[in-house]
Amino acid sequence: MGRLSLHRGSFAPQSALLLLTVFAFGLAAHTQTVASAAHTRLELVSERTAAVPGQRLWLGLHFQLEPGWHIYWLNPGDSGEPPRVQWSLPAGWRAGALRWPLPERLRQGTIVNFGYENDVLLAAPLDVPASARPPAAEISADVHWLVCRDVCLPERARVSLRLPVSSRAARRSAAAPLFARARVRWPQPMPAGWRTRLIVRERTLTLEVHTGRPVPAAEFFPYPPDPLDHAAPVQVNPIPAGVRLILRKSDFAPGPVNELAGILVLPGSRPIEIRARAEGTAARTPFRQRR
Amino acid sequence: MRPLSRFALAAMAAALTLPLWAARPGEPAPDFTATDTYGRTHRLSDYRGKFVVLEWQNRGCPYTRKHYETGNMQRLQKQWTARGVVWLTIISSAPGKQGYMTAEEANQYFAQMGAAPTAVLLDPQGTVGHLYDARTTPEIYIIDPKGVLIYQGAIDDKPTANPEDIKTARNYVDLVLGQAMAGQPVTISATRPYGCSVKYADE
Repeated sequence: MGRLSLHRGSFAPQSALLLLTVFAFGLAAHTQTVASAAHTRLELVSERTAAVPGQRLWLGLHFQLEPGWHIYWLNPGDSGEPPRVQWSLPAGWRAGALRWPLPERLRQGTIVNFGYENDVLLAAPLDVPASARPPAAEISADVHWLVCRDVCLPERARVSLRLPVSSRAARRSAAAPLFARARVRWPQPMPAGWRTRLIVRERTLTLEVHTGRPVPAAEFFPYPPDPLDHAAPVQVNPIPAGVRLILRKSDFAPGPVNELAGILVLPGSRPIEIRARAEGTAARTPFRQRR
Repeated sequence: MRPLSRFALAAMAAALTLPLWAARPGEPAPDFTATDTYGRTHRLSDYRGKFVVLEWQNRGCPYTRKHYETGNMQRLQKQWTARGVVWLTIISSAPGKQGYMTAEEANQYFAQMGAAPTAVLLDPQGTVGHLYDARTTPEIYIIDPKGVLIYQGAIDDKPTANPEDIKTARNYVDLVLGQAMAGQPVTISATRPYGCSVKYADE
């Protein structure tokens, strides 16, 4: 528990609960491996107590960081690097791409980063094949990440989980609340009926999102390839049908900007995934309609 | 007249503190004077007629270490200074911050690393760093013999701290100097830099 004493108070009950899980299920039933790096505690967790053949299950990498330290979103911003994972799974099992919760905007002088402080769960779907056999499967993840405060350190760990395989419905595990908390920060698809517009000028990108009513505030987190200057102020104006953001183009924008994708955060709403094509580069088809 | 919006005020404040109009490729590189680890003064404009590379450095940064501990940076320094390029390694870390070195410490470190820049410039106030709006280490600026900035950004196209990636990376110093010194047009003039933030003095 030495490491845990460094964490903020709010982690303690949860960590205690997870530790309890390990004891409660015992080694045979539900082994969870925790790795402690210099500034991070990493745990591989499952949302359910067992894998059911032919069903999807969610795994998560739970990063707990020392106060003041952060790790990065899939677009780290002006410096840094996102965590990477390599799964080792039994034959026929397949893990999908990581789901990244909405990050925080972290500013340090003229540098703006997108990342996570305190703790974050990066979840991945695990497709369990119909051929999966009881009693259990061994799942491992090799994880590399960069953790930074005023300085940065590369860290790595291998975490493993012995996951029971059972044909009966599995229960929610003790780690399930972590997944529930992460899910509310996952970006949602753009609601049907919304429209986007992107106007590219020499120094700016104007993104309009038409939601049907004026929206007073908005924040945008760009996906790579990211054409934005993150340190520049963003002008946000409500328009009758939604909101207009005037974003500053980065001097480093890779080539002509044909598309802008990322997460839009509006007051009182879940984060929304936005994909806007620049006017003049293609038919003005909002991305939802292309489906 | 409506009162100034919060945005307008924020934009004005930002304009005062951020070098939003720092030089961009195709524009003259801002001139500066700085002192190297042997106490010699270097003025950028004195190097007209030569290509100049500016390399922002922080010995503790994992991304800088990736390029120094594999010898990649030293290879670039040797290869291009041998062809007449002026290579200025700049340390903008403030005293007490990661990467800060006294002149003696720097001389010892760079000798130990077998580094071969033309000079190591000490910029503990961050004057040159802020003039160029250098944000990361390693960050590269390349200036042509007319004093025009022809490249700014990353050292290569693999934005990781993993030394293994150097083998497969496309190095932008090699690309840009190779093209420019052969009299060809430079095909990549700006990329998003990667690495650690420059450890400037606290504002």
